[in-house]
Amino acid sequence: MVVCTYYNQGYCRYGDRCRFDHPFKGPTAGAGANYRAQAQQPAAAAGTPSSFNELLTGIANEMKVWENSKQWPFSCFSPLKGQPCIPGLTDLSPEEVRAEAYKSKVANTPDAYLQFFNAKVAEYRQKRASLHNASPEMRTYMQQMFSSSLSGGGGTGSSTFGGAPQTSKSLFGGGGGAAAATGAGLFGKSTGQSVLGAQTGSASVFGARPQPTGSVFGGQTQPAGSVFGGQSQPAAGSVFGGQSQTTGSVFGGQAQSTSSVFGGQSQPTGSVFGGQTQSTGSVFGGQSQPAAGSVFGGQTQQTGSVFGGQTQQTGSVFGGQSKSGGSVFGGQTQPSGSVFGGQSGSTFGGQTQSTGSVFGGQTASTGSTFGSLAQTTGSTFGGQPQTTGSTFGGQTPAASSVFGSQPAPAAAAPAGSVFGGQAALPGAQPAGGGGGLFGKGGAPAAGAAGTQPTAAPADAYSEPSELSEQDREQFAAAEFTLGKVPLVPPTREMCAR
Amino acid sequence: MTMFGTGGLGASSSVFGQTAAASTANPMKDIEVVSPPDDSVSCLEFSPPAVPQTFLVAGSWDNNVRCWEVDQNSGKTQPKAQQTMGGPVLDVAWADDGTKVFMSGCDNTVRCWDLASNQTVQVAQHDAPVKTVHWVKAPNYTCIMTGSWDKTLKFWDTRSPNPMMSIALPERAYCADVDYPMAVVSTANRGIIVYQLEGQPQQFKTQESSLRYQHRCISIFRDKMNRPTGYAIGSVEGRVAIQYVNPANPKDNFTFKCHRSNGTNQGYQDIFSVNDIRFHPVHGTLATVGSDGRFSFWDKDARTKLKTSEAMEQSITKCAFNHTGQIFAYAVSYDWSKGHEFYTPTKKNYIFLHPCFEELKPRPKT
Repeated sequence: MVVCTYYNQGYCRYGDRCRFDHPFKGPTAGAGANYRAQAQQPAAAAGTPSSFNELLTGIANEMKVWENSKQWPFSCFSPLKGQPCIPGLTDLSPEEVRAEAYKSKVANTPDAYLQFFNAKVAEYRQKRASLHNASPEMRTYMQQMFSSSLSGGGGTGSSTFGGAPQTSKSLFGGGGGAAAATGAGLFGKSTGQSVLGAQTGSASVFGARPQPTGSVFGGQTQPAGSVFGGQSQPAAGSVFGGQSQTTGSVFGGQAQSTSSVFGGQSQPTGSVFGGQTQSTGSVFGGQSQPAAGSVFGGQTQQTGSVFGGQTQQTGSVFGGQSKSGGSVFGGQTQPSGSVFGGQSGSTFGGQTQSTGSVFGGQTASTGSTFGSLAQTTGSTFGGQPQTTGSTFGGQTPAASSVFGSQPAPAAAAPAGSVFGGQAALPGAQPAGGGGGLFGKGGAPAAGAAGTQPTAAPADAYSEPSELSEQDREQFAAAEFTLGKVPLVPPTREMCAR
Repeated sequence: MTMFGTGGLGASSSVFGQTAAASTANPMKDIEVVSPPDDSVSCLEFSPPAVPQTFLVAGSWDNNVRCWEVDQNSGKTQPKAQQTMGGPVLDVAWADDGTKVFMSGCDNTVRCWDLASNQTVQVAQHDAPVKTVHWVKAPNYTCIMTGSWDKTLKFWDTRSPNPMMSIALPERAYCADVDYPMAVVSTANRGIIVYQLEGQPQQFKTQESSLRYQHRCISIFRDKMNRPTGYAIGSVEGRVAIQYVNPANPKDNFTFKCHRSNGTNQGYQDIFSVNDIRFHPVHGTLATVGSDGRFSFWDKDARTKLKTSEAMEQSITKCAFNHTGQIFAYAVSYDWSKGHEFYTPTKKNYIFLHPCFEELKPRPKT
C-alpha cells in the first residue's frame, strides 16, 4: 500500500476515507504533538523537547488543542511521557461524573449535580488557561521537571525540586503566611487571594467580579461557560467556596470567606470536592470535616493555600494542611491517605511551618514526595530513589516468564500512593504503604502487598565524603533550616533504622 | 428489519448468513441484539468456553444486567434472564465454568448471579462504587478481584464476607484486566500497577504511562508463546499505548493515535476517548471502540490499522469478543463524554454483533 504523504506530515484531509495508507506512527512526539504542521515541534526523536522553551510552547499548544478538540475536559495531564501529571490537574472519569448525576437524580437534588458539573468545567478550563500562559512559578516548575526528564527522570540524588526553596513561593500560588511574600502561584497569583478571582462576598466561582487586588484570573467577567457550550454559572452561591446548605452537595460547601476556589466547607459527608476555607484565597484548599469521601480538599487555615489545606481525614485526594498559608501542594495531613499534599506521604512539599514553600521546604515529616529531602526516604523528587535503575524500584532480572522470579520488585513498590513517598512515616501511612512511583520509600507500611525492599542500590545514598560540612550539619540537626537544605541525599549511615 | 438468509459459513460476507438493512443506526449492517438495555451499556461479556452455548451478558446504567443466548450460526439473539442491582452496573465478569456472573456497580457492592437458579447474592462490598470485577482462576485458589473508586483493590473468596486480601491503590481504580498469572490495574492520574497472581496476588511493579491524559481502558495481550506479556491502554485523548511489562527493547513500547476526526474544525481534529480495547482471542490483533461511534481493528505487531467502521449514531461504550473469535459485539450508547447536556434518555441503545474472524486476521509484515 502506498503511504499517504499528507498523513506523514500529520494532516491528511481525507482521514479514514483516504485511498492511501495511513499506518500508525511509532513513538509519539513528546509534548506538543500537533495535528497540523505547526511551527513548534519538539525536536528530539526520542520525544522529549530539546529545549525548555519548546516544552512550554508545546504545552501551550496542547492546551489549545485540548480546548478546541472537544476532548474530555476533566483529565489529568502530563507534559512529557513518563513524567508525573502536573499537580493540581486531576482525573475525573465520565463514569464518576455520570454517577453523580444519577445520584442526584435519585436524591432529587438536580441542582447539586449541575453546580458540581459547572464548577468543574470552569475549574479545568482555568487550569488549562493557566498552563497556556505559564506564570514564572510554573516555568520554574516546568524547568525542573524538564531537566529531570533530561537527566533520566526521577532525580537521583539531588532534589529535583530543590531543597529549601530560597524564595518561599509556592508553586500553585497561595501566599499568605509569613514568608510568602510574593505568593505568586503556579496557577495564578494569590496574594492572599483566591487564584481564581472571586474575592470576598458572594463567591462566584470564576470571579464574575473583577477584584481590585490582582488575582491573576480575577476579573473574568464572563461566567465561565460550560466546556460543552452549555450553561454558565448558577447565580447563587458558587460551587467552589460557595455555601451549600444542602447536604449531599457534591461540591464544596461553605467558604467563610469566599474566594476559596476549591474551598468551601463541606459539612456533609460524601461531598466530592469538599473543603473548607477559613480564609480566603485557598485554591485547592479547604478543610473537609467529613471523613469519608472527600476527594478534594483539605483545610486551609489561611489564605493562599493553593493545593494545600489540611485534611482532617483520610481519603482526601488533595490537600494537606497549611498552617501558614501558601503551601501549595503542601501542607500536612493529619490523616494519612492524602495523595497530594499532606505530611505523611505528602506529595508536594511537606509541611510548611512557615511559608508556602511548595517544592521543597522542610518536611519534618518524612515521606514528602517532593522537596523535603533527604530525611525522608521515598521523597520523590529530591530524595533518593532507593533503587536506581528501575524507576519503580525493583529490578527484574531477565527471566523467561514475564513475572520473572522476583519477589523483590514487588517489594520495592509496596502498594499505595503512586506519588509517594512515604514509608517511614509513623502512623501516617496510607493503608498499604506507598508504592512510590518515583523512586521510593523505605519500609512499606503494614498490609502492603509487597514485601520488604531489598537493599538499595549503592548510589541512592551519598558517600560521607560527598557531603559538605553544612550538609552534614543539616542532616544531623533535628530540622532542616530553610535555605540550607541539602541537595544531596544523606549517607546510608544516616538513614539507618 | 433483518433478513435471515442461508448464506451459511464460508460465505464471504457474513458468518451468520444473513444480511441486515443498512440504516444510520446500523451503518455496518450488523445483527442487532433484541431487547437491548434501556440505558447506556457499561459492560459487555461473552460466556467462557466451558459452556457450549454462547451467552452474552450486558450491564447497564439502568441498574440491570441482561443475559441473551446467541445462536452462533444465525446470530439470532434471545433474551434469557435479567437481574437488578441497587445502582447502575459498572462491570460484569463470568466465572470460568460459565455458571455464574458477577456484577459490580454504583451501589458499592458486587453480586454473584447463579444462572441456573437465577438467584443473586452479594459477595463483596466496598466504600465507593466498584468499577471493575474480574474472575481469577489460579491452580491453588479462585477468587474475584474488585477495583473501586475507594482506592482499594480487593480479592474475595466468594464464600466469605471479608476479602482475602485488600491492596491500597494510589488512586481510584479506573480499569483493570486479568489474564492469569498477570493482572493489571490502571488508576486515576495515569497510574499503572501490574500484579502477579501466582501463589497469592501481590504487586509486581508499577509502570509509567506513555500516555499523557486520563486512562480509560486496559487489556492484556499475550506473546507468541501465549503468555501474558503486556497490555494496551486507551486514553481520553484518542490514543492507545502498547506497553510490555518487561520490554526487551524500549522501542517495543509505542503509542498510536486513533478515534480522531479529520481536522475540519479550524484545523483542529476532534479528539475522542477510546472507550474499550479488546484483543482477539485467536489472532491477537486488537479492536478499539471510541466516543466517535466507530470501532477499529489494529495489528499491533505490524503496527497497522486493519479496518475502521462507519460512525454510529452515538458513541460505542464497550465491546467484546466471543471465545472463538467469530463474533465482535459492540454497544452503541452514550458514554457521557460530553456531559449531561448531550444525554438523550429516549434514544435507543444498541448492541450489535459483527462477524469478525476474517477482518481481524493479522497483516503480514510489509
